[in-house]
Amino acid sequence: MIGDQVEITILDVESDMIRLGITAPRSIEILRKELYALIRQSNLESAEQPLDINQLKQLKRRKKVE
Amino acid sequence: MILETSRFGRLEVDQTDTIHFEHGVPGFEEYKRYVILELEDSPFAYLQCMDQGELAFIIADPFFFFPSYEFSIPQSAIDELKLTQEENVMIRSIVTVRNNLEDATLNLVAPLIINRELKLAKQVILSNTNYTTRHAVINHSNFRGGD
Repeated sequence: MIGDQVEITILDVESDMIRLGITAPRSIEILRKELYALIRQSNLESAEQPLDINQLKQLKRRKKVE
Repeated sequence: MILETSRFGRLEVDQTDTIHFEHGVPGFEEYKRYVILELEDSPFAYLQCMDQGELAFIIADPFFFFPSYEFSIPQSAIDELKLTQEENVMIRSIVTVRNNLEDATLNLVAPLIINRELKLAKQVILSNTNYTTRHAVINHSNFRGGD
C-alpha cells in the first residue's frame, strides 16, 4: 500500500517480466514515466519553434500597447 | 494588465482571460498562467504564458484537422477542472512547427483540456491510445482550403 488509498499488486512474474497492478482512486493519475518524458520533450520542442512574425499582424482582439 | 512578451511586444491582456494550469504543462511545470491569443482567419492560436514572456506555444483545434479525433477525458481531469457541462469543455492541441506552418504537427496524445467557464486547464496525457505527439496537418485539405 502507498498511503491508504493506493495498492500495488504483483500480478505475474515471468523470467524477464513482472506485471504490476495498481489500484488507486480515479482522482489519481497513473502514467508511464516514458510517456510523460515524451510529452515533456514534445512541449520543449514546441516552445522553441520559430514563429512567423507576419502572424503578429493577424492578432485580433488584442490591443497592442505602445 | 500589461504583458511583456518576446513575440508580441507589450500586450494588454484582460485578467479575466487568464487560464490557470494548476500543474503547468510537462516541461514547464512552474508556469501556471496563460492566455490564448486568437489569430484572425486561422485555425491556429497562441498560448502565451503570462509569467514568462518568452514562453508561447502554437495551439490548434484538433477537430479542425482531425474530425474523427476521439478520446475520453480521464476522470481525474474532469474532477480537477471541475467539468460539469460539455459546452464548457474546450480542447486544443499543441502544435510543433519545424520550418513553416505547413510542416506543423499536432500532439494528439496530450490534448489541452480547458474549462472555458472557470478558466481551468490541464494538459492531459492519454494512455492506451494510438495517437502520437506528431500528426502532420499538411495533407489535410481543410488547411489549404480554409479560405
